[in-house]
Order: sequence, then C-alpha cells, then structure tokens
Amino acid sequence: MEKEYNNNITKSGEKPDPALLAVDGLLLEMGRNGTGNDSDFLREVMAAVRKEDNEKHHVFTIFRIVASLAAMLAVVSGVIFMFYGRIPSGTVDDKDKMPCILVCSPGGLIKSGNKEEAIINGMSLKTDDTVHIFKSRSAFVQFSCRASMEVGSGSIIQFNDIHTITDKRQKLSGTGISLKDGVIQADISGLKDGDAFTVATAQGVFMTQKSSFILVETPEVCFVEVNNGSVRFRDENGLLSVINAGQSKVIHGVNTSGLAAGTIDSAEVINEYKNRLTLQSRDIEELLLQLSKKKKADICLREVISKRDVSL
Amino acid sequence: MNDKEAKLTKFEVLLNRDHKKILAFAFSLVSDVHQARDIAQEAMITAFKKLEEYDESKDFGKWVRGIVRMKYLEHFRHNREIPMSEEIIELIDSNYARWDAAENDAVSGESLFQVLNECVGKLNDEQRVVMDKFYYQRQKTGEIAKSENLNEATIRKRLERVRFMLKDCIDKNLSAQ
Repeated sequence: MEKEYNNNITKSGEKPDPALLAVDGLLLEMGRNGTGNDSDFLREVMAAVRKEDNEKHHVFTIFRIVASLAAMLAVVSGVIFMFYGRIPSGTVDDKDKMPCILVCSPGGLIKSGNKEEAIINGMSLKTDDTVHIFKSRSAFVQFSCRASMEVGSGSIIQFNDIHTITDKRQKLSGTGISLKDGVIQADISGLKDGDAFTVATAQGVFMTQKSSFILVETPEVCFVEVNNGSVRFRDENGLLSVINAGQSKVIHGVNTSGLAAGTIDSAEVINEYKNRLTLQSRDIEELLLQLSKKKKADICLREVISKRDVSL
Repeated sequence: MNDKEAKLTKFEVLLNRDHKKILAFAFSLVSDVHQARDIAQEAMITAFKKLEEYDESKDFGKWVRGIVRMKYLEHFRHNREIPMSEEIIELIDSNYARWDAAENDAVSGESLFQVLNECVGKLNDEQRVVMDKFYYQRQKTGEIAKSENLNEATIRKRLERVRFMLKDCIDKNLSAQ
C-alpha cells in the first residue's frame, strides 16, 4: 500500500508530523482488521513462538547428548593415554613446513605483498615473496629435505610458486623461482615424477629434478654450470637444451673474442658472480643447527641436519 | 500446568491485549505493510524469548515497541536503506505511550481502536470517502484523485486533514473518559 510520505520526507518536501504518523499506523491497522483482534496474526505469532520454543528444547537436548559423549570420549582417551604412556604425535604448524631463509650475516630484505622488512634467520618464505641479499652478505634457502639453495650476495630472487612440503613420505610438489639478478647454487636431491625445481630468467626457464648447479643471471649474462645430474633449459622460442654433469653453457652473453677495451667479458662476469657464493658447508650446518634449536623445528630440517652429520 | 505452558499462556494473554497497537506502531514506521507485519512478528518472537527480562510493573506494549524499534533499525541497516530518524521514532512512540496511559486510565474501558472508530464516524462524507479508499481499499492517492475527479494534491490535503482531526478526536476522547 502506498504511504504518501516515505520515511522522513513528504512529497511536498516537509518532514512528517510524528503524531500523524502514529495515527496513520492506527488507521492502517484498523483498515486491515477493524477494531477486533487480528486472529490470523496472533495465530502466526503463537505458532512461531511454539516452534522456537520446541527447537530451543531440542537444541538443548542435543547439546546435552553431545556434551555427555565428549565427556565420555575424554575419559576413554585419558585411559588410553595412561595405558600407552605417550601422547600421539601431532603435526608441526604449516608455516614451519614452508621453505625458510637463513642469512649468514645480516643484510637482506624480504618483500612480501606491500610489506618490506629485514630478513630474520629462519623466516618462512611464501609464494610471491621477493628476496634481496645485500652485497657482501650471503644467504641459504632450505626448501625441503630434497632442495636447498645458496643465494649469492647482491642477488634478487622472487619465489613464484611454493608448495608446502612436509617430508619425503608425503607427496612433494614443485617450487618455482625467478632469478632477477645474481647467482644461486642449488642442490636438488631428486623430486618425484611430475615435480620439478624451476628457475625462470629473462632468457627462459631452467628445470631439474635431480642435480646440483650454479646459475648466474645478470643483464649482460646468463650462465649455467652443472656439477651433478642434469638441467634442462627451454628458451623463449621453446627450444630445449640439456646441460649434463660437468657441462656449462652461456645462454646469453658477450663473445670474448675481439672485444674493445672496457667491454664486458662474459667469463669475467661469470667468475665475479660465482665468487659471491661464499657459504662453506660448515656455515650452512651452523645455520641449520641454529634453526633446529627453535621451538618448532621442521621434521625435514632434522633429516637434513642428520644427513650432514651435525649433532643436535 | 508446567513452566513452559505457563510461559506460553502468559505471553498469549499479553499479546492478545497489545498486538494491535504493536502492529499499528510498526505500520507507523514502515511504508510497506508486509514488511511492517514481518518486523512486528519478529519483535514478538524476540519478546517471547526475552520474557524473563520483562518487568511486569512496566507496560508490555511499550517494552515490545522498544523491540520493534530495534528490529526496524536492524532491518533497514541490513538492507542498506536509510531508516526514519530516531527522533521521529521516539516522538511516534511517545504518542502511543500517551494513548496507552489514557486507555489504562479510562473509566469506560474502551480501547484505543474503539475510540478511533467513533472518531472516524464523525468525519464528513468527503473525508470519509477519501479515508475509506486510502486505508480500507488500499488505493493510491493518484487513483483516488482520478475516481473523485480531483487533483492528487487535494486528496493528500484531505488525508492530512483527516489525520489531524482523528488525532485531536482521539486525544480528546481518551482524556475525557
């Protein structure tokens, strides 16, 4: 039914008189039901009220049953616990299973979303995080039991695709990073079929399932040196090449022959960047040991440490 | 009679007495009659749930009107519509409170709606027709204007005059009792 005024304003632009609105309400109600009771309305309200009351009673009864069952379960669990004498093992928080970054000496930034902060040892890495390691500093990333990576000083890496990895008994999924500038030395122990460790560069994508390799990426040079296993490289045109153990390849760079003085030499650049990988095995073990002493050390981390014969 | 049944009976008695004014209050707030009915019904269900909180020395209708106000504001905020100002709602409520008090004091025992009905009987023919068509037959002012061969502004003016007269008549008759 039309009301000639809508909320606060009348059609003439004036505010309605509250007393007239009150009379309006009375007339509307009388127009519907005269002066007698609105029995339909009363019936509806009482039916709704009874239904509400019954549901409340049922909910309360169900709650009582559930509470009793929960109490019984607690008693039974307690008995089992007492009998077996140990608490069943729980799982570590998900964030502790994410790859973590460790810095040998302070000096790096991590950009996560819009937030930029200094890298703290043991920080978890998430997809789309970008890490910038300052010059003369060094860092190490532990992805899982099967993948780790030293990040050379001055490097910038974006973690495109990180999946939660638990331990080798669980399904392992891939990791993808983008090397923007700098050098990495990666050690990939052997991923399952269909999984791969990938590194994207300006020239194309490197992929491996089992290898250890060094990758240099600068505006002038892209270079890979494979120490163990094999690395596949697919360039922007889709052309595939395979670099095996003991081999290296300059994907992009300046030819060293016939260079004028002052021109950048690929070999020089490659060597300079490789020299930025400064972490020794002992340094990495110490970093991992420090991390393992944190409260919720990852199960995978313990395996890594034990493999390196570092005592906990 | 167990506690549950006693509570339901008590509520039914209170509702029987005050439901029309509670509905009328909701109609004073909301332009849509179905919406007003829903708000009033929700308010009454809430009143039942909170019946233990109701102070029997206070007026039941006023207590439930407070819940109607709350439901009205909730409803409008939920639908992202602009509700009537709280000042106007308060003034509407004060009219109902005044009529409640007058009804309770009245010697004749006539209800507010019976008094209203008598006042409607005192309207002249022109006013009666317009009132009948608008409130009883649910016609819009445009339709009434067309059927009465008048312009819409005149119809609205007549309706306003009707409301003024009825308000004065109710106030006079209730206080006279």
